[in-house]
Amino acid sequence: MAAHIEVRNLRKVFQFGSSKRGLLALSEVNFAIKPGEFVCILGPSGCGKSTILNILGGLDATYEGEVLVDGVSLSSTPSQKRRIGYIFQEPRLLPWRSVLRNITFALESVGHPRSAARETAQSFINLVGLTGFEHHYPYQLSGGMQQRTSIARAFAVDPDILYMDEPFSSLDEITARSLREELLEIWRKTHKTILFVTHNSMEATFLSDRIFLMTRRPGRIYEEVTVDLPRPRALDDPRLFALNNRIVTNFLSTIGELRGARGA
Amino acid sequence: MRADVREAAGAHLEIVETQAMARSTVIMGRSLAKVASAILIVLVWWLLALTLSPDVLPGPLPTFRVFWNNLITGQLHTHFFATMIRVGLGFLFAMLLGILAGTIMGLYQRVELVADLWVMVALTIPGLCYTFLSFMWFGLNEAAAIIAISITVFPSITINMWEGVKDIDSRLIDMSKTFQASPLRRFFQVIIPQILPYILAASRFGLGLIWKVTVLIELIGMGDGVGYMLNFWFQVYDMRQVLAWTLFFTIIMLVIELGILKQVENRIFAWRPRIKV
Repeated sequence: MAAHIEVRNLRKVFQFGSSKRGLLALSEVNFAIKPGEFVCILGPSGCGKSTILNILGGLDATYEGEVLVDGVSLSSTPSQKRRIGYIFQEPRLLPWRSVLRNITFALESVGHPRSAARETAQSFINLVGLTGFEHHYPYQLSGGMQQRTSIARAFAVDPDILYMDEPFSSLDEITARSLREELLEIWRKTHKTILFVTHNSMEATFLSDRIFLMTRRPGRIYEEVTVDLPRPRALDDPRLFALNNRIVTNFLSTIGELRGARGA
Repeated sequence: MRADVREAAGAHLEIVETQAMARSTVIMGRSLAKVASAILIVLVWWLLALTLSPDVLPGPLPTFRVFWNNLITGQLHTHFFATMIRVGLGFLFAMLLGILAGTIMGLYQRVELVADLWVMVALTIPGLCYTFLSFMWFGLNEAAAIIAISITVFPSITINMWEGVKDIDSRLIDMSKTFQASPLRRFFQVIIPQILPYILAASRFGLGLIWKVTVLIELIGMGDGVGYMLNFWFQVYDMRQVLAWTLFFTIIMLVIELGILKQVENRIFAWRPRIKV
């Protein structure tokens, strides 16, 4: 099957001010994701995993290397033609708009007519279980409900790809668990391609088809793990634990070695 | 969706509704307390006036009679109207200038680096000095008065706007970019709503300041207006008139502040959690 997203030799240097020397954030990142696949990028904080999402999501246009979506280079695709859903670590809702109007904001932005937008928004509010909260303002909702709204917003625009940047890391574990399960449920129904960034290895193991493991700065994908477990998965499945342990051990040895070699 | 989540959501809804009900009861109670305090103050005034000579403190009733007389002879309208025009135009120019300067300072760090000192200087110079300078440069006329009013008030509006523009949340702008929101939509639906609270705060603050400056300016160099009348009655030492004009002016100010600006604010900012102070 042709790759949905293909990243070749992605390299990113952050320039500060006018100084010539920059900070190498990503070096030689290569990967390919198939349509409908759920892939996690797992790495320690500061390894550049969010930077990859920013580039793929079109928020950062200064990079070296190539990003292809459906075989077409990202830099040559006009932004209006991209249809993505982005879920950030914080809900990033517009505080002056109700739940419903936060979702219609996204729908109208991508070109839905106003009346159709309301209907679509309502159906996605129902999907994430916020029925009855359409007219609440974000400050009246709990953190989990705010993140639900942001998930509804991202799926509502019917994106080709969903980018998620540690969306559950600021929630308590109980809320995060139920949101993970709901996310998988929505993914099963819609079969979107999802690229999910996290530093939580258990989360990555539970959610994904494949996991890309990243090193510390300069960030690079050093290993790829296929999670060959049937769905729906149970959190207390011993095979999940075993795989998670393997990933953690692998991580500690690789990153620990790097750290030792650097003497940091 | 699973039942436990729905239940939790329902419980949350109830809490929000109960909070809203409790809030409206509290607001009712507060306005009652305010009315009661107003009655109490008039009562204290009346009692004090009984013990003092009318030249020092006339009672509420004589003061009100003078006020009523001013109203039916038309004296009040003429001078009030003159003052309102100065306040209105001064406010308009101060807002335009302040919003422009504040926005530029918030957007461009280089401008901010140089301008912040001068905004502080402009803020420190007393309104009286601007008034004298303006009258000496442009003569004792309406334009000079309005210039003085605008210049006195614009620095504080600038500072408010500057803060507001610096506070724009770039994360929300990023969010709108991921949904391909057009620049126009981004400006009107993401940026402007973030600055609006600052514009409103600036105008409330500016208006409060402008009343005081205008009265002072009228006293110094104008032949009509509320400030002129206050000074006139002060010269002939008529305490009832001085009190009547002060009272009238204060009531008008309060009506504009509480009756208009506060209501606009409440309506526009229903989305903000109320912070109890």
